[in-house]
Amino acid sequence: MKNIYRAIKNESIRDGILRTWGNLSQAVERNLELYPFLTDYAEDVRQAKIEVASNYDRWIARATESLGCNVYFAEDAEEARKIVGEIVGSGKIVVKAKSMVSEEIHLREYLSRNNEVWETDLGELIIQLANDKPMHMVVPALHYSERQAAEILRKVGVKGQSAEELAEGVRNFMRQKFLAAHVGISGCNAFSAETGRIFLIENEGNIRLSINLPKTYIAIVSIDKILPSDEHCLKSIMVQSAFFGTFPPTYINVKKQVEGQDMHVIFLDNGRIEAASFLREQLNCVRCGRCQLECPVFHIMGNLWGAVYGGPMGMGWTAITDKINGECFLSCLCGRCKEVCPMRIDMPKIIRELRKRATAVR
Amino acid sequence: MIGQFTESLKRNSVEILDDTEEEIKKTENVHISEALSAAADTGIIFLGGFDEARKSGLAEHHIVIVRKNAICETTIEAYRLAISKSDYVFASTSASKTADIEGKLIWGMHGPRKFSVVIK
Repeated sequence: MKNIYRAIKNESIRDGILRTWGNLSQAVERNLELYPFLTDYAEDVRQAKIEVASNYDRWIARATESLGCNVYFAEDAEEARKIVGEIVGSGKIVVKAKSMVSEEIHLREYLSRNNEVWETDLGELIIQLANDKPMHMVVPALHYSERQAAEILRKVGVKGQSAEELAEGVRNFMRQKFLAAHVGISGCNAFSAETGRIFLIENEGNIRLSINLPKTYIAIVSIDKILPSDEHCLKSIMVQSAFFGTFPPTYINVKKQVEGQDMHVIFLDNGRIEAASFLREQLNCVRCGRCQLECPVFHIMGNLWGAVYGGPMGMGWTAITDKINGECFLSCLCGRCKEVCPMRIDMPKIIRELRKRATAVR
Repeated sequence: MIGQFTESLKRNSVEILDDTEEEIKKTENVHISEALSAAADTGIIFLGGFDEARKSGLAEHHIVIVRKNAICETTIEAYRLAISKSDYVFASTSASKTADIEGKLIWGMHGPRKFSVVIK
């Protein structure tokens, strides 16, 4: 309840989300008009995800065999943090790509206890410095004004008032961190079980530097990101970026083990294998964030509605990776999320089932 | 197909150059790469090599030479051609950008401020 009042009183959340929604929903329509094949790609990815989620054991084994580097399997967040912690050690400079799975396991907080850890995406850096939580998966700092961002970024000596001056200041600040970093960490947008390649999309260029410059690179791959082939991965990242509204992505990174770099891949379960049957559909999600921006409740609440994963998709993801909580009762069940989802996930059905179970638990 | 590719480049706000020599004189830290392949439908350009990924990611201006015979109709075909030529591939579509502060589009966030293509 506290979060509801906090959100209602905070106009900047509403303004930020509505501005982003306005800009991006038009872009999505344009993408689908210009690139009609994306709808077919979405269906191909959906079918592949259903196959993988139906046989996780087989696909995890195949994914593991495909890699020529250090591979780990973490059953839960604690185990994943421990593995990363042992690889990183202490006293290191760590550059991180924005990643929901690292939010899911609260990795930055854990590593920061004895390392210098930097979020390298501009929006995520603002969130880190503000000690806040991302308000949206793709645009984490959409609720901060230019003036507020300037104030927050001053903490690391970035001067300036305009978005342009601030971006320039962060570019210069972060470039030194990229060049000095011992370890780079990313999540994964799609993982090919055929070749062990990790597909990552972005617009800023921070992921390209984070995964290629440091001597040690760690990828955290939640098992729902495993797909049968490189082509499925390519289709998946294209669908993800198009349905968010930024297509084509500025950069596609296809990462694999190379000589001269120490690479570690951690597959994370954290509830996915054991997901209840009614939650299986949620595992098809490509996390484009489209359902969030189209949701009337999310327009008011932003990511204060939910734990790590918020909005309509967040209800299912929270139940899988954490627990069923009462936040599912905030949905108005209008069905807009299902209409716009590229994977055609029936989120209202999932939320109705969560409500039943939440009530039963009580 | 070349016409469709140049249309895609324009849509992605990519500058098309006649040659590289004049540009090299204009900016410091220019990196020039030869593309493995490119997709006419989206303007996505595939490049190859670990060292190339590092150097081009740090450059101020990234210029890419795209051979006409490396232009494919679709992104999937371009990807197939790219991995047949290199084991380590990556793709670029425009200059680095962000819209993280109030949705304002800023070019040159962490990667190259400029991205140009020469079609040969």
